[in-house]
Amino acid sequence: MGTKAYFLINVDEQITQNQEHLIRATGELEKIPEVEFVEPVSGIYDLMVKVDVPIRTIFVANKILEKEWVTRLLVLRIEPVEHRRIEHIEPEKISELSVTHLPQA
Amino acid sequence: MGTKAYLMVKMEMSYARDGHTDGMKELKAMPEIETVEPVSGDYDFVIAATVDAPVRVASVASEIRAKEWVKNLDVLKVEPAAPNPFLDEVCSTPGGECVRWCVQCGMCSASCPNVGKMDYSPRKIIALIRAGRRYDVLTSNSMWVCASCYLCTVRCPKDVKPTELMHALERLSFHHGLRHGATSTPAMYNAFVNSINNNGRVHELGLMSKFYLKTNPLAALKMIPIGLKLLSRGRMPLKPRKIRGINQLKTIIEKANVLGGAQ
Repeated sequence: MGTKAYFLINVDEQITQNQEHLIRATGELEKIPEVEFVEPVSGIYDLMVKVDVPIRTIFVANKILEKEWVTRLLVLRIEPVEHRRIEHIEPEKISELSVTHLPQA
Repeated sequence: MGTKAYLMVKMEMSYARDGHTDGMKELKAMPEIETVEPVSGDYDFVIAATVDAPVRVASVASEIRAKEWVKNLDVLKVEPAAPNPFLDEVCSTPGGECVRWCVQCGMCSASCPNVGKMDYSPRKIIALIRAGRRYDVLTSNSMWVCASCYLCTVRCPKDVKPTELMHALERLSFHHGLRHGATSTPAMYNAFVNSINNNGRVHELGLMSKFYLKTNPLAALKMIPIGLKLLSRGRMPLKPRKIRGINQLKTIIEKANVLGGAQ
């Protein structure tokens, strides 16, 4: 199991103003093997992409950013809640934790 | 089939420490929500929701936004990935570019003083454009009823400009010969533009005479008492007065017509 993430993408205005161009752009992203799905959305972003990458999201993000019509990309890495709770523990309290409290890898 | 949307939630810092599990439980308890995924980055949760009428995405968003641990929420509505020539046409018309930014919150409709007289509220007009309902939009009276008060524009949280959109729709409706039968607004626009073209300023008597002659001459009778009062107090000149440099203004208007693609 790799890392899953959502990419929120803004595309060039010329793409958003023509539905056919938007469909073509969606198709281009769907061809990337790590991409699970692409959905055109309306709001502050234009495309919602879900990816499942074997190692790091940055490699796929770079692949997408190479496309000249991509103007902005925001990465939201999917993380189990338990991982996030560990992240928020103050460094001085980490020694108090027993190994069993850490999430299973 | 309902409307699908992604709702991105940012938690308040004080809750972000331990509140993720409780927050997820609360969100999962909502019937419209399909999945809740905790994420790291600018947001804390990505929520996938599908709502069926009469419930709207905006009302689900409001319900989530009302929770005390929610700091910020952004809505991304999933749009059908099918060709929509009408949406493209509106987007390529000056003033219509903003249609895709709308999150259907309904602030424009709630602010509009004339919404009661419209066939479709501004929010519905945008939803219909996105659905490709060209005939329904262009034959409606909504854009002609718009008073251009700009209340919707100043209140829109996403910088959509519904007033500009209404003007764009007026042009499209007129261009395609689909304008609402009962509207007299195009006649008013024509009389106004003619007056400016000829005199460089509005000549009220000429403008209203032309307008009533083109629409309903009998209605002009009702205006006689007001007209007489204005005349007696010198507030409405009988003869039009031209501005100085009218030829320069005409050149400007001609150039603007060429740039704007007017025929």
